[in-house]
Amino acid sequence: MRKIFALYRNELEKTFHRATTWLLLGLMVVSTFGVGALLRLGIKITESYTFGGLHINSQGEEVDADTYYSQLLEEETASLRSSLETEKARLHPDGTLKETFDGESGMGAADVYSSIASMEASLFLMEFAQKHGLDYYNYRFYVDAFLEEDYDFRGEILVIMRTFADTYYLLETNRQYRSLELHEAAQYALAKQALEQCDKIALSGDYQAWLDLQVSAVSLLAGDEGSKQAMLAQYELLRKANPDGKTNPALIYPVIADITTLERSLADDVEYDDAGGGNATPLTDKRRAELENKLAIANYRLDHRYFSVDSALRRLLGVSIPSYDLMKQTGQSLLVILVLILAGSTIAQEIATGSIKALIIAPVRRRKILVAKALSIFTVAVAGSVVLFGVLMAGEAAFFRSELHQPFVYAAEGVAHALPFGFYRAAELAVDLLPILNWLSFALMLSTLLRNTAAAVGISLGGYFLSNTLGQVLQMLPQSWALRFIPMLHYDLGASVFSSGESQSAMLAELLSGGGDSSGTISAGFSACYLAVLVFCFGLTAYDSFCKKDLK
Amino acid sequence: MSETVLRIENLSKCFGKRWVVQNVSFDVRPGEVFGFLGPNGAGKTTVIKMIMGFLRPDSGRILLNGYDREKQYEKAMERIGGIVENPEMYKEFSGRRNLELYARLHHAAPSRVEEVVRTVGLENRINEKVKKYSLGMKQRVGVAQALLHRPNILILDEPTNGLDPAGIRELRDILKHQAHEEQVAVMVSSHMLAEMELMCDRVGIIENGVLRGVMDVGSMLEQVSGGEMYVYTLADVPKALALLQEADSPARVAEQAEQSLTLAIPRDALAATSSLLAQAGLLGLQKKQNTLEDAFIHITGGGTQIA
Ligand SMILES: Nc1ncnc2c1ncn2[C@@H]1O[C@H](COP(=O)(O)OP(=O)(O)O)[C@@H](O)[C@H]1O
Ligand SMILES: [Mg+2]
Repeated sequence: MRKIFALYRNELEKTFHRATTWLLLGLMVVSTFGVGALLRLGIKITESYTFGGLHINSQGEEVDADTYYSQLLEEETASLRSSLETEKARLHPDGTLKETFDGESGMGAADVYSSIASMEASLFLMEFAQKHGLDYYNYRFYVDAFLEEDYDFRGEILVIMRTFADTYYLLETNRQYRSLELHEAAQYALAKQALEQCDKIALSGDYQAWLDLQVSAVSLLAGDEGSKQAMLAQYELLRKANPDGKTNPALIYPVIADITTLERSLADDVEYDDAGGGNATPLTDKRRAELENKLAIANYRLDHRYFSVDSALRRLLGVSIPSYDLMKQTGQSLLVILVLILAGSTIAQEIATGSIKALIIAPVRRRKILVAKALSIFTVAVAGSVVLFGVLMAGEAAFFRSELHQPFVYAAEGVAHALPFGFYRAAELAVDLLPILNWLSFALMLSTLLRNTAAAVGISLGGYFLSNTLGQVLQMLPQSWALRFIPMLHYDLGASVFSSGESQSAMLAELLSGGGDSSGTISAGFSACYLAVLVFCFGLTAYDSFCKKDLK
Repeated sequence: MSETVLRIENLSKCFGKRWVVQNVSFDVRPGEVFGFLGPNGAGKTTVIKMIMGFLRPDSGRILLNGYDREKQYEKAMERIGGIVENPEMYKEFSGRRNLELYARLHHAAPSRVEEVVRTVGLENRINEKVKKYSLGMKQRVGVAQALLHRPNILILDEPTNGLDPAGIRELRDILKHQAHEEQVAVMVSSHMLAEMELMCDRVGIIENGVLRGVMDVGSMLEQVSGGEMYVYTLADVPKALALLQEADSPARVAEQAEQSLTLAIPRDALAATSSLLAQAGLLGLQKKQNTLEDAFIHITGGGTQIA
């Protein structure tokens, strides 16, 4: 042991004496930070594009977003108003069509009525938006939602109002030419009242009244009784989760939708795809336990208000990977490159320069030399990961809102637990040391086998990049038993241990398999065992070729 | 005192289909400098690499301080120091740092580094990076490294390569000191005869992977010619020959010229022979140099070229 320690210290000293080590560690820090800064810049650009960015209006002038959209609204209002006049002019005062149609077009008076009604509804909404200064084009919606501290729920009023306005104007138009049926009259009255209510709410900002109004809108919607029930349940949860209306419901809805779907699935002992009870499949005991855990997690998130801001932000930016993961992947790949260079050159280079002689002459067995070398490079990987962790935390704090730093929520036997953000991110990096060790032993094996630095480093780097791309392609293939033994599928270990079902691979798998069934994905435990076996095999080969063969 | 610390038994090594070393056996004892002499490609480095653990012998045994190299590797290698072929070090480190790293592997005291640096006379340049060193300087650092942990077996493969004449002399003194004062068993390989003659107590001659013989440098001459060689310059050579015959002298005539006789004379007969030849008009007496070359050619049958 004492000899290994002495060898280890020497190896460490040699490693940190190399310019490559410092260069790549520096590059890792800079690139990781740089990616974070670029993402932040991306958000800034998106923000300024949406708000402050220059838009060319119909007069060909450059104006800011607010002016642009208010001008656009005025213009569209005017043009819609004239279209409406034209449309109305097609009718006689008694509601019959002026022109006669051939049978082909089949357009009747009722079609003109509904066309008029939808125009009137739009016109109403446009005027309403102008009157209350609301964002008709929703251009502020995303940025408001994810980057502003306080969310103004009035931005959504227009969305709900469309339902009321459509109903109201359709019945209003019909009413001029015929008397309404009884249920129509009730709907008409409800819609009319709702529109008045909207006006009041837009003025007063009364959030509770707004929630009540949404509940009453449910009865106007098309759809079966089951999904209406689910919507009502969701509004109830929303009322609890967002009592003051300061949180964008777009953040809360995914969690709420999960909860209602899961509760309904568990109650009916059948797994549904959505809260409306779609696509039911029978529930096994194992799956039931999984769903119970999922429900615990969703409830925990709702209670602690851990909403997936990050995925919403991703949607805004149009990037497929969360900012943290993007930064992490950048840093880690540079760290792996460093490890591959060090491990690929360590034996081969010493043989080439002859400096290995001093080690061979020393009274230490060759296997100890190998172990000391592997240990010292692994130490670099650990030190690099520690540095990377610091950089990631600093980068996240510097560039992104702290709300993004949510704990990792998991559940066991139906009870949810949470690991703090910093803790689980550190643990994730620690878990990722196993794949890095795998790469290390691979390169070390090549180094001893080929005794050629360029070949060992080149092949291992090539293997690393190939497996990165190949891994993503392979993940798209349908899950099968044989596929689990392809190494490329196991290198994302940290993410698979701490997967919230939102990891890139899980999302891809979901996308491609067309369903949310993650039960087919490889378990983290299997991956870890598999990688351990690989490390052992690579190590054994390295041992055999370095310790048993002549050094000519 | 005469127990062997380095024993080689029937060592053979095959590269591909060629036997590069065949059945080589010899001992090196404490307190002696053992020369390993042979032309380029004779297999000197191969033998040394087997001793040092670079190559695994195809047959034979290597005993270091009584330990079998194959069975008790670390114990056997504990007290061995040396240079194989050219001394190679970490070029980006200074000579000192190289020595310090090596000292760590042997758990040697840091003060020992200063001592060996002084021994090889590199105090002025030891803090420079090795990549700035000349071959001779590297050779010195190599020797320093080899001495660092006070080995009792020192094996140097062509250590005079790249050294200037003064450096060679210093190295010779160092090695002699190690052997004769510190009782280290020193083994030095070389393809240069003259060097061996000055440096070694015993010489083993290897050729084409076969050890042709091992002998004392002193007695080597006698084996060839029955004594040391002296050149007498004489006024009357025929008379001298007659005198020698008459006195039944142990001196043998090796060479005869018009004005000189080259005689092989046993050590104890030098005085008597000289006084006898004084009667034939002794004009001068000179000990003949380079006689080892004669011995070498005698042993190897004169078939090989010695550089
Ligand atoms: N790595 C090798 N592979 C094949 N043959 C070798 C190798 N190294 C040395 N040899 C051969 O072995 C013989 C002995 O070489 P070596 O021991 O280096 O000689 P020396 O040191 O006496 O000059 C030479 O003929 C050489 O060609
Ligand atoms: Mg040689």
